[in-house]
Amino acid sequence: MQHLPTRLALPIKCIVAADGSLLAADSAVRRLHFGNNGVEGGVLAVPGLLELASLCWRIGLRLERTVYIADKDHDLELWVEAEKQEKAVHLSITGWHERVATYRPTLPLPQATTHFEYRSALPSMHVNRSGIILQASESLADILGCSAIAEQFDDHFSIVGYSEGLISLLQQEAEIPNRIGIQHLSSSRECFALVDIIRLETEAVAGARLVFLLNDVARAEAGAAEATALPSHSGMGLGRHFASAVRQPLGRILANAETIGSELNGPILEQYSSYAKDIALAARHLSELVGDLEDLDAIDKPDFKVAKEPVELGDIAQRVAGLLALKAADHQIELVVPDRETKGHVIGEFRRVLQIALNLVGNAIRYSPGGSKVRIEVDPAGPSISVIDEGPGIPVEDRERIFTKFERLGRFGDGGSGLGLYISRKLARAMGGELSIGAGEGGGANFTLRLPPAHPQYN
Amino acid sequence: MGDTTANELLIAATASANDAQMLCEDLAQQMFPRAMRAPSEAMQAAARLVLQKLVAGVERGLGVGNDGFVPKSWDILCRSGLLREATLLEFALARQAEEQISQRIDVSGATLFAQLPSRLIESDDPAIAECARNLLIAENAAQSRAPDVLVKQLPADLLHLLVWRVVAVFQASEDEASHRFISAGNLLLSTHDEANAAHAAAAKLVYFLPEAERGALGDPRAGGLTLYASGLAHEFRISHDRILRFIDEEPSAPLLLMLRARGHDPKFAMSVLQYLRGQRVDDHRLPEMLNQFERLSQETARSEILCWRLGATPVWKAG
Repeated sequence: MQHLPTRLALPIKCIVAADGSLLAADSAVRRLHFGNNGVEGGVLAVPGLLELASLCWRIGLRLERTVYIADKDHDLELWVEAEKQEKAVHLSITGWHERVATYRPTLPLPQATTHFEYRSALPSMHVNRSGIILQASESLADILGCSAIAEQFDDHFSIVGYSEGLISLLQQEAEIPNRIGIQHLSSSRECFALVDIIRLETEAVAGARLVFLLNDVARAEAGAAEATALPSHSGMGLGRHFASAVRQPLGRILANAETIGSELNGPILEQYSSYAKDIALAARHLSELVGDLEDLDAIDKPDFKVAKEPVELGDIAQRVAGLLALKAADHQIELVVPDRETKGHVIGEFRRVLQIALNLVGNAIRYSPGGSKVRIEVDPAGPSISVIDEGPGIPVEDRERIFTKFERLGRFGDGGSGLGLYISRKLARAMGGELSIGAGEGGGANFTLRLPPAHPQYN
Repeated sequence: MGDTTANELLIAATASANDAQMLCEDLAQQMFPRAMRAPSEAMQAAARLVLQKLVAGVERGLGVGNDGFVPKSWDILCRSGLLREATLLEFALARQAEEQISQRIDVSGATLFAQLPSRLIESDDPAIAECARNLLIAENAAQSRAPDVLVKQLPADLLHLLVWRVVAVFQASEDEASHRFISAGNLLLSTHDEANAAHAAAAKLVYFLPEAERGALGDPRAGGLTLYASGLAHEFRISHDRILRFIDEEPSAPLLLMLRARGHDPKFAMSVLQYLRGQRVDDHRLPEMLNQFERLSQETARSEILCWRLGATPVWKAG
């Protein structure tokens, strides 16, 4: 039965210090605190309340919010007022509402949460900034074994949908998500949990406290369902079937739009021609995106392999310049290519090397100012091929980031998908090479693709 | 070229554009499996205007005069990444959604007069009466969309974020070290009470509403848009602003799901849908919506909404 929120005649109070430790509390808060493995005088072990107190301390303004807390077989919804006073935040709970977790998913679920069974107290662990497990509550230590203490969190758990691991997550300067799904790697069966992250930045402890929300079965199960919905390798799993199914209607749209736009069936009003060209452009972008997704699907598979054949980088440069000459002219960009005598012999897969070079030169054209030059250089000694533009360049701090999936560095509306460089680097590495970025002489971007040199017999 | 040919071309072009857009949306959904689609460029432009107004409001609060439309600190704030602050953007997009929904309600000729808050002003419970009064005042003021009114709608943490960003810009441009702007910033913050914002008043009202009145929360015509969104936010534990964006989302699937999860009967659900979506759900589309609604089970709808809640942090969805 659903209870209604109760306005408390006497508010439940607690006082939280600047570092998050619980200075004083009425019995109801103490029960929640100790039930979550909190210790006397330790950091408030009720994530929602701690979060509100931290926010209030940081901004110094009075706040009134609903706070959700998982408590045994109930969820608590509290109405909490927070006020910063001299050295602490005073929390006052004026509304108390217990409700059973209503929304239990009915999706088919795997055999999950086998080890992380229901516990009356929320298990938790402390992890330092380097991702090392410093302390784990008894119930978790049972699961992990004593040896897990002082070991890397990432050696025992993976984070659902985030391959970089916990250290990378904790080191992000941006606000980290406060709830994640994790999987226990050593379990013989699939074993998932939802975890609240509380970042700790006190003098005594730096890192995070991870609270395992396992007594909320609905959420844990949904976490498992959601986690299993994500394919382990690419996060999308679109596959070739999807790409080929989409290509056909896209091709029709493109052909129709180009027929209308080029006025093959007779003259039309300029604005209609312009609409048709917009449609064709959008379809072309979409077609490129489908190609990217198809590649992404392929290269993220563990069994992805590339052919090893002799490739000549000077030839690649000439071909790319030929293929993108019109696009460059449209943008008033001059493409500068090496002379035909300059050659760089490497081992790779011809079409993949061409694909990378097309991506690099295409990007350079897209982001360079009109009237500038894009140079394609081949270094026979490297051997490598470089694409150097006169655009705004990429700031040093963003240079690694641009190789991550869907990273657009805040750019929108230019037809890019944020996949090209990610795919290109993956391809380069799959061929035993590397794709790196530096700055050109004029401050523009300088992308260099290095590949293993070909055996002299190929030269 | 005759009018007929022109019309035919326009129809063909529009159909092709719709095909392309639907394909884009399907693809985007595959790539980013989340309940809400990425904001379009038009939405981003509108959100930018809301942010400009907010900055203008804060500048006015700091005592900075401005003759033009664009706030003085705007360019520097943009370059310093203001437009990438997710929480501020979410607020701006929600205000944009709120305005769109309100306009549709207006256009549909529906009354703006919400009976529930007006009745609750006379509640015996002084806290309920105060919340209802705050809600009505805030909703009434919000119609003006004036910069300073918009600032009053900000949650405290967002105002804090914005004020110190703007203060930093002016501090940096002062020739000599001056505490003028810091003092003005502190004053602006100290006079702000987020409890007076419409969404905060509505959230408190929903939380403490007596059982006898709770039925009205399911009908936006009885409670008004803010209270209705707060009711949904409380029930599904999704933020008020996110709910507003769900209601405004095109197509109507998120709203349809929320109505289904609530267990409304089809006729009532369709009437709410038409009220909130206005002309977007015309008589031709209504049977299709009804069909979708009836095919959907309440459990499926609830499960889906649970996933929205769990997937509220985009990083986990985008991989």
